[in-house]
Amino acid sequence: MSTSSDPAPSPEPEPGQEPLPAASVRRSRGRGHHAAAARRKSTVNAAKWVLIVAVLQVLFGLVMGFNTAKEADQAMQNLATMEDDDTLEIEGEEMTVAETRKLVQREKLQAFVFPIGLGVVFLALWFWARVSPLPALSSALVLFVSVHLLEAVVDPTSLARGIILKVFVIGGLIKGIKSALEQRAIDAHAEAEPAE
Amino acid sequence: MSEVGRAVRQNPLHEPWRRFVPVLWLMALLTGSSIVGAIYLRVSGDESPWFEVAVTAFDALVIVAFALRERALVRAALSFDRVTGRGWLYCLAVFGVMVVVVEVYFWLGQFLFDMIDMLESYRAAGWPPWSAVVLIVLCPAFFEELAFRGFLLERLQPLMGRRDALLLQAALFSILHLSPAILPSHFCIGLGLGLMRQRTGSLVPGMFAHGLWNLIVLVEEGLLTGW
Repeated sequence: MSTSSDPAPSPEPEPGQEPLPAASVRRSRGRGHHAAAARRKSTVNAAKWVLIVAVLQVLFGLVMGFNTAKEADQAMQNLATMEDDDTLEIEGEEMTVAETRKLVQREKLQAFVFPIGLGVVFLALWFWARVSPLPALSSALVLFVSVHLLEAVVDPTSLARGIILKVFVIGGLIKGIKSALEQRAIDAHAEAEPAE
Repeated sequence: MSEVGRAVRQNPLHEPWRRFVPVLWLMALLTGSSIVGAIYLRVSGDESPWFEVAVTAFDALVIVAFALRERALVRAALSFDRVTGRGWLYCLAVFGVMVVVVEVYFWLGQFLFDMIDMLESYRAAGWPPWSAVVLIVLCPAFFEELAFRGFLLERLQPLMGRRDALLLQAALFSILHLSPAILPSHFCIGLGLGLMRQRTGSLVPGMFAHGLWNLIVLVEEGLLTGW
């Protein structure tokens, strides 16, 4: 996968915007194929991390969905003997049995849809990263960090779960973003001066 | 600084990264304030609107500090004069499409998730409706536009081009709302507002559209809950 297929930004900077240091970029571009290959490898690896997160998220969604579905079926069995108008106290709130049944059915659906939906978003980001690594990897990084921080608000112990994988994913994505930015700078300059 | 350190800092390939880091910082600070807020709500159970005031004030300070880094461009973008009659028509069309798409999404979503009752804390604390309008309509319309379509878009466009910058700011805008359920709808809103900014060169139509959208949501909720 090459980042050179990315639509290069306009070589003309926006009004008031400082241009990239062109002369210095030119110097660095000549450093050879090794650096370019390393940059490409780094963005490809970062995209792979996004794919790994997507797959894990979908698997997690399936496991969580089936577990919740089992619990929901059990809860529905318990509610089967009660009348619709009977009231229950759930987490300090009074609800009728009919409302509780609706809530249980909805939670069953949510347990599948949200984690798998998130997996699909990461999958979409992986596809996007193959075409345009920079915005896709940036979105993946912010989304990944936000999701895990939000999860930690609900359950602080979740932060430590899979910490090694989290560090690798974040590190890989940051490295990929850095490489994609460098590649963009070189591509933009090459486009501005094709004869060189 | 050591020779190696200086060489690393002066490496021209690090220049785009240096320009990109503030984007990550802004996202980290804005997301951080929401996360800290969520932790506070969970621990204290305090749902007073003062909490909303504190988070909004912090976010506003952060956004203004970052917008000052692109002050020349942001100041120019806050001008009315840039927007032509055609520009306003374009914005109106984009806003129409945005409202239809997001309303359809929310209508479908009601079968899967509950809508957040934004007015509940204001009602409970006995705050007047105008306070909710200030905190839910006006402040986000101004400060979120300044952050996403102002600072972020100005930073990202020279780094990755107009199309990718538009998509990335929309993605970041949707992630900032920290709710998987509204990720798709807010991505569409971010795209619509970004298109308005790119087409007109001004932040003003986006601020109007953003405020109007928030007002529609607030009025809908007010009508449903009888406030």
